[in-house]
Amino acid sequence: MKFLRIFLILSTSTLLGCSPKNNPPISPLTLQQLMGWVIDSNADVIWDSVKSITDINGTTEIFPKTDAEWENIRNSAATLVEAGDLLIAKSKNKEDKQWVEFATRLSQTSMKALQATQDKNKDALFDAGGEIYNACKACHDKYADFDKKASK
Amino acid sequence: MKNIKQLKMLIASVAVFGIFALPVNAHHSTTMFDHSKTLKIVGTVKEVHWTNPHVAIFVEGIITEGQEPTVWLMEMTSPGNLVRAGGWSRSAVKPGDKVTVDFSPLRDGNKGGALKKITLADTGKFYTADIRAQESPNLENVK
Repeated sequence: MKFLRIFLILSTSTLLGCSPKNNPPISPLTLQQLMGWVIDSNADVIWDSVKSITDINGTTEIFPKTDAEWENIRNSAATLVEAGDLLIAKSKNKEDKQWVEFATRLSQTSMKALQATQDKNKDALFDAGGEIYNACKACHDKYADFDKKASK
Repeated sequence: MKNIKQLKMLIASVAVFGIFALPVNAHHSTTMFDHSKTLKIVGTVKEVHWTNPHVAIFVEGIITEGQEPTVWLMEMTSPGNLVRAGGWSRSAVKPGDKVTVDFSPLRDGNKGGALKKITLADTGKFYTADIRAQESPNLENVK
């Protein structure tokens, strides 16, 4: 019994030592690279997937039509869902709850896009794209503050 | 981000080749626009892009009398934000409409800007847009 107790204590200690909490993120990407190379590029895939272009000859409705097109957009949506966690991992201040809320909002809105691709619902995908944009914009207004920098 | 560069390339493509059917899907801040200035263009709507993250309207017209008409790219917030702001729909403004547009120009002098108000010459009906104000209410609902 005593041997079992020692074994359990050692096993638990070993497992805790391997927990993500004690390991710093190993990704070498900067926050700006994560934004540009992962988040923005995949958001572009979603934003570009459903739209209408109207000229004097009429309206062209653009939306995914083949399984391959839907899967490509699904993959970008899934990447954005996971990117919320990556943003939290990249946080400079682990106590910043608002950063976590914004990152979570990116994941939640991207989840709607992911669901839309699985349902093959172009209208829901379009609406989710708008919500993803607002998630991005809200965070940028708080942390990037582009307007204030430009006015300096 | 690549987006400001992408927008400039789009404007340059329109100016040189007259190509409108290009994606306007760039997400960017509003800092490229000089919000302290308001210009007015009188012309004709050539193309409407109802797309995320920014609705875009191409207008061919003139800023001052005697100019050769040129195509300008007018940007707004997302379709969802515009609809929530009121009045807008994807068919509110159509190609061929004669319009007057008040806008904040691009800082770099390219032919583009942030649309503030578009007035239909035939009816006098107008639609307003404020890319910053119309986005703000939709940014606070963080859960």
